[in-house]
Amino acid sequence: MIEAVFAATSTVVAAPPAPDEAFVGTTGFILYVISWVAIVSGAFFVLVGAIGLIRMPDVFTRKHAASVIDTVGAGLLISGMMLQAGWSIVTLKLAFIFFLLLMTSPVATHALAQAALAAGVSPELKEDRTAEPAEKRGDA
Amino acid sequence: MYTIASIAILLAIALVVTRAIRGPTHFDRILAANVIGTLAILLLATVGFLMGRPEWLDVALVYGVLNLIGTFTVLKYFRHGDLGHNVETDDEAGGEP
Repeated sequence: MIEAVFAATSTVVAAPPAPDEAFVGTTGFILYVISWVAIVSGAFFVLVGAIGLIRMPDVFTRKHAASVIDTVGAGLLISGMMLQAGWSIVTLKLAFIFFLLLMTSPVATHALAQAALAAGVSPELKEDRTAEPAEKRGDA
Repeated sequence: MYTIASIAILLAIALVVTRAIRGPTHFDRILAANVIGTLAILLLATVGFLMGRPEWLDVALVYGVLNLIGTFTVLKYFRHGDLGHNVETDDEAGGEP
């Protein structure tokens, strides 16, 4: 009996993602293409957010670039992986991870912005940008 | 496809690490650490699918919770200089909201 329970739980817990052969028929092919596009475009948006984190001028706009990674990048990657996993415990875990990211990243960003404002970091305005060139701001 | 996603996430982590090294203020570095945590969650998920072992998602879930707590801890330390600071009793001057 213990072996049966162990076998059942181990198959549930260690269920691998559905192999490519699971995508049968026209619907399967469409789902496969959609998951492909979602994962690749999610990777693209992750890269875009990281480049924005490098190129944005001050800490408040950098938070904006970071939120691209937290919402669009993570959302597309996780939804693509959910399509690949099919109906299993893996999909539920991915949904939990996305829910956690949706709940925690705005809170962390808000706390970070408030702490930066309280510490005296002021947002860079349009006048500051036109008044001094980019080299004087400490970062190119 | 998972290889593409993993390579993109690794490149993004490298870019964010350069921001963490260069960042002019503390808050840039804290933000970079937070983003590195998020990217580590995504990297765990994609590499888990790449290796055919999606059990790593549990690790990613715990990492997400610890990421939030770590960010708040560092922010509180920079704000008050003390992790055991109590805003209601320790601030006689009232402080900022």
